This record gives sequence, C-alpha cells and structure tokens, in this order.
Amino acid sequence: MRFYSSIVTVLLSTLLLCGASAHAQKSSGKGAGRGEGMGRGEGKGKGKGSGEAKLSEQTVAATETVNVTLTTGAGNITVRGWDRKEVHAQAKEADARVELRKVGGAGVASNPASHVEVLISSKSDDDPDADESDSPVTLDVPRGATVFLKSQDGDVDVEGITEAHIEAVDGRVDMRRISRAIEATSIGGDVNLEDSSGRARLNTIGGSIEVKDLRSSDAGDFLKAKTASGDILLDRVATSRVEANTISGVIKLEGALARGGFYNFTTTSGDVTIVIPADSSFSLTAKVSEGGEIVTEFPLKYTSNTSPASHPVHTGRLAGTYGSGDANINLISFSGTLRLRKK
Amino acid sequence: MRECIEEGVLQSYVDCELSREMAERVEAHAAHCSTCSEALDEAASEMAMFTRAFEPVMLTDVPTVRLRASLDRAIAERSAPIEISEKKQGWSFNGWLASFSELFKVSPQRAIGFASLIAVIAFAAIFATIYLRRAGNNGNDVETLAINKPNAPTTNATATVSPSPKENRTNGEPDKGGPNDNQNNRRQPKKQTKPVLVPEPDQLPRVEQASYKPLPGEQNYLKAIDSLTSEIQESDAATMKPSLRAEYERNLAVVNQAIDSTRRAARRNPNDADAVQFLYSSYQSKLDLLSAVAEQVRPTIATR
Repeated sequence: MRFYSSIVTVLLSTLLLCGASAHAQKSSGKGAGRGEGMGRGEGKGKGKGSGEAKLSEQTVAATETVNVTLTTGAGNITVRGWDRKEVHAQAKEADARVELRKVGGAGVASNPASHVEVLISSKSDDDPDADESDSPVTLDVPRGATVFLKSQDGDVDVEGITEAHIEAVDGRVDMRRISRAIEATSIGGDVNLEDSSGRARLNTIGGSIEVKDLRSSDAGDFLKAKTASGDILLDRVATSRVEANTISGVIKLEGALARGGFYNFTTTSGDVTIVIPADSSFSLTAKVSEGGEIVTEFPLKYTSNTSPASHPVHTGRLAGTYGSGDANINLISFSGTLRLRKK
Repeated sequence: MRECIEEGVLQSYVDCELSREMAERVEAHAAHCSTCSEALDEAASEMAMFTRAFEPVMLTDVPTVRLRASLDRAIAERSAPIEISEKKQGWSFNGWLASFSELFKVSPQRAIGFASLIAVIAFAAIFATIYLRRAGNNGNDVETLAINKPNAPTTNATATVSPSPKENRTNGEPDKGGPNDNQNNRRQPKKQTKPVLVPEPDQLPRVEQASYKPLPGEQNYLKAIDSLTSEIQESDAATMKPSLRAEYERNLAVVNQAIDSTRRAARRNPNDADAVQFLYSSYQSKLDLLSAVAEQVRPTIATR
C-alpha cells in the first residue's frame, strides 16, 4: 500500500510541478514583453523614444534614386518609401548607434547622396571596439530608391520603393508595393511579395514563397520562384513569364493567365495545382515521370501522345490546347500530381 | 481603521486553526474591512478548490502514522495464531491462489499503481525497440560494408542505384551475358525493396564504381558538390548556427532523396531527356543549397 501511495504522490507532484513551471514560464514571458524598450540609451544625435530611452537616428539628403545598403545580424529591418528626398535611419534599441555614410562621394559634401551605407553598431564611436548591433532598424527612403539588405536572423520588411535586393539567412522576407525589381533570397525563411510589379526573382531553400498581386509593368517582366522543400503559392500573378521550381513542395497558381504568358512549373515530388478561370485560353504540356498523375477539368484538344479517353486523369505526357491557346503552360513533375482546375 | 490582518492569520482562520477568540476577532475585522473580507473569500475559495481537487484522495482512509502503527500492531496480533495454524498445515494451494486474488482486488491506488507500472513497461519497450532498431541499422551498415568487398558475390543485391545490365549496354558496354549477369537479373527485384542509401557514385560498391559511367555533364556537378561539401565540412562547426545546420541537414536530405530517385530513373532511361533533366535539376538544387550554406560558413569580410 505504501508503494502505491508513493506512486500517487510522485504523479501528483509531477503534475503540480508541470503546472507551476508552465505558469512561471507564462509569467516570465509577460514580464519580458513589458520590459522591452525601456532601457536607458546613450545615442548620439537626435533622441527620441519612450521614457528616458533615446534612440539613435540620422538623416541625410539623397537623390530620388539613391542606393541604400544595410547589413545586420539578428535585428529586423524595416524599410518604408516616403516622399522626401532623404534617407532616414533609426535604431530601435537604445544601446545601438546608427550612422549613414555616403559612398563614393567625390563631389561636394552637401550634394544629395546617390549611395548611402547604413551602419549600425552597439556602442558609441568613442569606443574602438564598437561592433555590429542586433538592434532592429527602420529606414525611410525615397520611393525611387533601391535597397540592398542583408540579414542573418532578422526579418526584413520592405514597402513602397522601386527596387529591393534582399538576402536573409533565417529570417522572413516581406515585400509590398515594390514597383520595378525584386530579388530576395533566404535559406530558412519564407519570402512573401504582395501588390507589386516588375521583375521578381525569389529564392529560398527551406522556406515557402508566396506572391499576391504581381503586375507587369514591362513586357520583359517575369517571376522566378525557386525553393527546395517549401511551397510556392502564386495568386493573381500577371507577369508574362512565370517560372516556379521546387523539389518537395507544392506549387499553386490561382488567377487569370496573362495573354501570351509563359508558365513553367517544375517539381520533383511535389504537386502542381493551377486554378484558372473557365474562359482561359492556353496550350498545355504536362509530364509526369514516375507515379504521378495529370488531372484536368478542362476538355483539351489533344495534340500528341495522349489517350483519347474522356476521363480527366492521365499519366505520362499530355499535350493539348484549350480555347485559342494564348498562354503556354508547361508542367513537369517527377513523381507529383499535376492538376488544372476551373475557378 | 485598524490594521489589516496578516495573510497567514487569514489562512489559519480558513484552516480552522485559530482559537475561538482569535477567530472572532478576525470575523469582526473582516466584517468592516473589504480588503480582508476579499482576502478571506479568496482563501476560502482556494481552500474549497483544493478540497474538491483532493476529494477522491481525502475520501480514502489515510491513517496517521500513530494510528497506522497501532492498526498494524492489532492486525499482527490477530493474524499471529492464523499464521501459526497455517504453518502447521504447511503449504496450501488455495492459500497460494488466494494471495494472487488479493493482488487483483481493485482499489484506486492499485489502479494507479498498475497504470504507472504499465506506463513504465511501455516506455521501456519503446526505448528497447528504438535501441534494437538502431542496433539493427548498424548491423546493416556492417553488412553493406562487407558486401562492398570487390569479390563479394552479393554486391548487386544491396545496391540501390547500380545500373542494370541494360544500362551498361546503353553506356557503351557490351552485355556479356555471363552467369553473374543472370544472377544480377534474378536479384534485381530486391533492389527496390532496399532502403534508399543516397550514394554518390564514388560511394558505390567498388564493383559498381568500375562499371559506372556518369551521364554527360554529371561529373561536373559531382565535382562541384564534392568541393562545396568539403568546404562546409572543413569549416569550423561553431560558424554554423544550429538553426542553419538544422535547415541545411533537413534540405540536404530532401535533395539527396530527389537525386537518388531521379538518378535511378535517368539510368534506367538515359535517352529520356526529361529524366536526365530531372537529375540535373536535383544536382543544381543541391549545388544551390551547398553554395548558400558555404557562403554562410565562410569567414566573412568586415563590412566596415
């Protein structure tokens, strides 16, 4: 009996300990959240912030098409386009110092900068050991600006500029309202692009890629998305050339096809799903190598190597047209399933 | 207003541990003090909650140590003559069975005890299974290594990516049609049931290395992959963050799996441009992955 009582006691104690530790963890999380941003700062230049904290910030005059570069470690980067011809940077932690350095300024010092490098360090520049800071940074840049951003673990959020070239290792990349060119790579983070136009080249290895409302501003505009194990989700993409490639993830395209557009989707083991309006016009080439299927809800006019069977599931290779065949869709999967569905 | 009552005193009041006089003082104070009244209510509600929670346990008869000792003594005195009589009777089968039936009498404590015991046994079984499975895999490795010896007769039985005799023909090697080839043909179905090993050509058994001829351009991919892999492996382990390492290893497994499956298809049908293209695409994905990771582990040049 004593043995059983001991077991009961141990079980109850474990239960109580688990509850107590969960509660303690929750409480400490709340505490950390409340304490954030309340430190005392020593930033140079204009001070701004809550309480006694002074956040370092700097502004320089710049051209409308200024190039801005920034490299950070773990800090998040936020970039916003604004109507001023100035670059403004602000560190979001009180113990970080931000500096804007004109690059290649052979001309007069007072001239607006055409290339600005943003430096962020963790100590005052009186200290020769000043090093990189992990503080989050916000940048305000002219709408015509091009930004080159590198981040290790931080997230990157860019909105309302002309060009963005972003490299992230583990962070998430979010871009909105980019008007001309987008290039984003990440190893483990997701890459998201929304409400933009122009050329877009998005690469990630372990993350997913999501594109919504990408318009074409030039005949040569394209979207190229590539990931190893992540998914690629494309919604209302109107560029004339769309390429997506993944190994094990899925590819999904939803929305109207661009007239004369070229769509090339390739997966190794992932599925491809295309959901387009019933009145679409396209020619299709689809191929699965091993085990995959081709499923279409569109009654195609088959052109070659296709069984005349009326059922919508095929294997191997399928080629046909629907409507007048305006757009070209090329789907290839090694062992995944290819689907064409009506919206 | 008088000072509020200490929390400990309030708790003692709730636990009925105060003297009557003290309890009356607490009640009198609480009647006029909203703070103490609320604290008292809170303590009482907590007490009620604990009482409800431990009700099943409290309902069971848990004697005090002294009471338990006296009960044990009394039981011992009463059972002593029975034990003597049993000893006199010697071993009894019915008594032995009765001792077992006693064991299976259901009570909450016993139920929990049995449940705990079953849980422990289940965990032990799971760990034992995992351990044995690992040991089994190690055994397979040993077996594979042994099979990799050039003269081992069962080499092809373990290879997952070895080219078939047909593939040898397409690679320009004549089909000798020897007895070994027949043996290989008979054993081919076994290949598909083997686990995926994801070997590079240089990791193939020596017999297959000798007969293996890479596809056009494949060697360039393999060299580049080998170079980048070496670079990553030689880099200081501390330079790769755990999150990056996890991402690298996870995706490397995905890419290797893709290479393995596409390579088998490409070797089966070397004239199938799509199959070869899939293989090259998989190689390219591996190169992309390795390049991205190698760039992260390379010593960085200061940006300022």
